[in-house]
Amino acid sequence: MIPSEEEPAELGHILLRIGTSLLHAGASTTRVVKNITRIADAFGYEAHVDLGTRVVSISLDNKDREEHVFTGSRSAPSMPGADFKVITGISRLSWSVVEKRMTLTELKNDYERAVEANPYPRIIVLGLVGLSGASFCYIFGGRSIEMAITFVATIAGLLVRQELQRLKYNPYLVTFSSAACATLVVSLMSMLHLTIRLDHAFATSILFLIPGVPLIIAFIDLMNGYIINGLDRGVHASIHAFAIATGLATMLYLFNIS
Amino acid sequence: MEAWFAILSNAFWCGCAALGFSVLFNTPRVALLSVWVCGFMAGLIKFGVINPEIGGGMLGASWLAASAVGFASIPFSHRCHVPPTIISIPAVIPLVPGSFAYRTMLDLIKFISDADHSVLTGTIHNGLMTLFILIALSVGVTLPMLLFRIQSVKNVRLKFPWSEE
Repeated sequence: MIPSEEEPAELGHILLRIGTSLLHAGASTTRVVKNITRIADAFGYEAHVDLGTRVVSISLDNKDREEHVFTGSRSAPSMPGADFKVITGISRLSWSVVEKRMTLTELKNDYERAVEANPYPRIIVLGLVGLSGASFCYIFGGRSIEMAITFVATIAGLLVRQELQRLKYNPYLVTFSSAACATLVVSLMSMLHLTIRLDHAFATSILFLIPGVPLIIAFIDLMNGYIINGLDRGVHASIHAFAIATGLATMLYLFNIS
Repeated sequence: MEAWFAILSNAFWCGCAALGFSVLFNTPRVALLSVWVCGFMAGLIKFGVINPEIGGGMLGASWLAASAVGFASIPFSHRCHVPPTIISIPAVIPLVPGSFAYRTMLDLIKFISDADHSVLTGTIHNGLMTLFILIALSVGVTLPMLLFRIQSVKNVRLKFPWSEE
C-alpha cells in the first residue's frame, strides 16, 4: 500500500483521539504511549509522544524516509475517570492492527466501536456497588444490621454522585456531596436508638468513593519515570480523599457523633 | 476451624467488594469472574497472614496479598484478553485501609478541640499506616511488571534478572 498525502495527518488525528480517550478512561501514561506507538508502528510510522494527564502531543516520522510527517496535540475536555471497557477495547484494537493489516477506515471504525459508551445497566451498578459497601462493612467487622445500613447508604451516595456527575459539577464537589449524603443516611439511622454502635457503617459507607484508579496509576507513573504525571494523579487522588473525609467530618460534626 | 471459617468468609466478601468496584469502573464482562477470584485470593492471603496463628503485620500482609494479585492478574488477563491492571486494580481495592483512614479523620477532628499528645500520636500513627499500606498495595500490584520487565502480557516470556536481554 502506497501511503497517500493525507494518510499521516489522518492517522495522526486518530492517534490523538485514541490518546485522549485512553487518558480519559484512566490508563497509565506508559499504557497510552505503548498503544499509540504500537499502532503507529504497524502503519510504518515512528511516533514520538508527549503526555500530560489532560493533553496528548504526537509527532509522526516516516520510518523509511526518515522524514517528519505530522505533529499535533489535543487536550482532554475533562478530568480522567475510569472506564475499563475503553482501555480494553483500545488495547485489543492496537493488537489487531499489528496482527492483521488494517486500513485507516477500518481503524477509525474499530476505534469508534471501542469508545462507544457501553455502561452496565444502572440498577446493576447500584446493586453491586451497594453490595460492595456491605462487603466492606463485613470485612471491617460489621454484621447484618450495619451491613444493611451500609448497603442503603452506599446506594444513596452513589445515586447523588451519578446525578451530580450528569449535571457536570466540579468532581471534588461531587465526591464531597456524595460522601456527605452517604454519611447522612447512616447518621439518620443512628438516631433510631439502635442497640449497636454504627462505627463500621460510618467508616464503610463512603468507601465506594475512594479514588482507587488514580491512586494506583499515580504510583505506576512514578515508578516508570513520569514524575509529573504521577504527582498530578497523586494530588488529584488526595483531593478526592480529602473531599471524602470532609464530607464525612461535616456530618459527624453536625450530628455530634464521636 | 473457627479461625479458618472467619478467614474464608472475609475473603468471600473481599471478592464481592472487588466485584462491585469493577462494575463501577466499567470492567468488561469477561473479566468479572477473574476480578472476583483475585479479590477472594487477596482477602485469603491478607486475613490469613494477619491471623494470630501466623501473626503477620498489617503492612506485610497487604503487600503480600497485593503482589499475589499482581502476579495472578497476568495469566487471568491473558485468558480474558484484557490488560492486567483491569483485573488487579479492582481486586486490591478491598485491601485499602479504610478503617485507618476513617480513624485518622476522627482523630484529626478530635485534635481540633483537644490538643493532647496522645490524640496527636494516634492521628499520626493511623495516618502513616494508611499511607504505607497504600504504597504497599501499589508496589505489590506493579511488582510483576518491574521484576519480569514485561512489555506486554501478549507475549510474556518470563525474563528474570539474570536472563539475557
